[in-house]
Amino acid sequence: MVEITPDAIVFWKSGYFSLNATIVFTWMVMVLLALTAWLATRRLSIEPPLSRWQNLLEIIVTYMRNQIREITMQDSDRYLPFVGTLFLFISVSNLLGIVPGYYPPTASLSTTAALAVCVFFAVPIYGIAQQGLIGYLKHYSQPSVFMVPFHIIGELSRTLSLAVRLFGNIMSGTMIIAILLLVTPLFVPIILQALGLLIGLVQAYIFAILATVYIASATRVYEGKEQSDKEQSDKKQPDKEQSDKQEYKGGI
Amino acid sequence: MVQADFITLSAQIINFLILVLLLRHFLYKRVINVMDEREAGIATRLKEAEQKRKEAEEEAESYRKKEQELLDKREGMVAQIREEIEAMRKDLTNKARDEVEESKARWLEAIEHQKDSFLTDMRRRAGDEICTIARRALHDLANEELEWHIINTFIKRLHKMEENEIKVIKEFHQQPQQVLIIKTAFIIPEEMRRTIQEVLQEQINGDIKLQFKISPELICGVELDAQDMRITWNLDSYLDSLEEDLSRALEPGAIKELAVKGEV
Repeated sequence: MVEITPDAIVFWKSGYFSLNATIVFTWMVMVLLALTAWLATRRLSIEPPLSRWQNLLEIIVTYMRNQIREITMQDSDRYLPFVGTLFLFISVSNLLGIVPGYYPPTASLSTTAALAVCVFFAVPIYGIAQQGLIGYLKHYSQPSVFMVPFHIIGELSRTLSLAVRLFGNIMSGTMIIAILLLVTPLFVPIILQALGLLIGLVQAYIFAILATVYIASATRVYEGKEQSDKEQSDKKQPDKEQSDKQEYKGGI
Repeated sequence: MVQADFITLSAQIINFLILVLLLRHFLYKRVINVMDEREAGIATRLKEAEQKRKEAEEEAESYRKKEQELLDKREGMVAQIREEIEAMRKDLTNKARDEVEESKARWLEAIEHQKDSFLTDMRRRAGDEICTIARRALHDLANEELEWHIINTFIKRLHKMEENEIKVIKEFHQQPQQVLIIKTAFIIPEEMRRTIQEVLQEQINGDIKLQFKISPELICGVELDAQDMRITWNLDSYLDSLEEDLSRALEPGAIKELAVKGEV
């Protein structure tokens, strides 16, 4: 029987708590990431020559910092731990899907919902840290007080869409491969699995980017009108990014 | 059935937050710190390099200035040395010119002296030779002594004395103890002496005392010496003419002229 979600695979149960595959594989991914990070960063050198692991980590970190800086147009280090961990966790969870017997935690709605909830709370936390409580809450009433319900609905719906998008993509990929293994066990599942890896990376990227955009919208857009004139006179690139953000807000 | 388990969801939130903390500690902080330190090191090195570049530029500029100063100084020294050399050259040239002029003057003086000596010698020899030749010629041609002809010629000259000459002789003779001296290069015969005395007495209309002296330098001549006046016949005038001709001939220009004419 094909399990639609790893939540259903329960290894141990005690009362209301059940140790299912989602939690177990999440721990595995966590251990893998933390252990790799610890091993790789044990002997970091400031001056060249750098080790291969250090080079790889520096490339990944630098790439993530640049992406965050381009989107938020702020200091990226404040958002890097949260956004970077989202990307790394989701991408590693998805990429490990190639290992037989492994169930990606992201194929569980509990995991994607948990990540979406984290984003849902991270947005106001960063917004309030940046703008203050009043400054942050003020944006709900922009441009009019009547917009408050719509803003709230928007917040909720985008959180839901985050969770469902990731869950749907990864779960469907796993399901398709499982079904194809029953129908055509040769070749076709391999191609689809490769496609699944690509989709997994793309989804991780999308999730992280959207989280960044949401946080940026809470911390930067409402910084005040005095910056808007300056921003308009800046290069065209930020304008383009702004339109990209609007596109993201519209939902992928 | 697709549904979100609340406990799993809560566990996943906690798991995720733990992972954030772990990666923040083990990954982001460390890597970012290392990169920041490296960046700071590069910035420091760049700053030091810029500082060193500035120092090097300043040093180079100072060396350029020093080089320019040395060049200027060298040019000044060269100009000064040139001036000194020029002054020395002029000085040496003047000295050399003076020495040459002095040598030339000495040489010309020596030449002139030699010329004079030569002409004096020539004059005496020529006079002697002419006298000898004339004497021999007169002796051979007329069988008479040359001295006789000279005395005759001198007597003729006494006959033709001018008034002022006669006056001078008269005044001379009136002074006491004064004797008219007649110098010859040879001995005058007694007959001739008497003739001369007679001619003179005739000219001054009075008695006269004569003294005859032998003077070899007269060369075939007779000379009457009366204080400031002197009546003479000798070869001096001829020899003077000969000397003049020889002098002219011995001039440097004259030799060249003669050379041009093809006479030498």
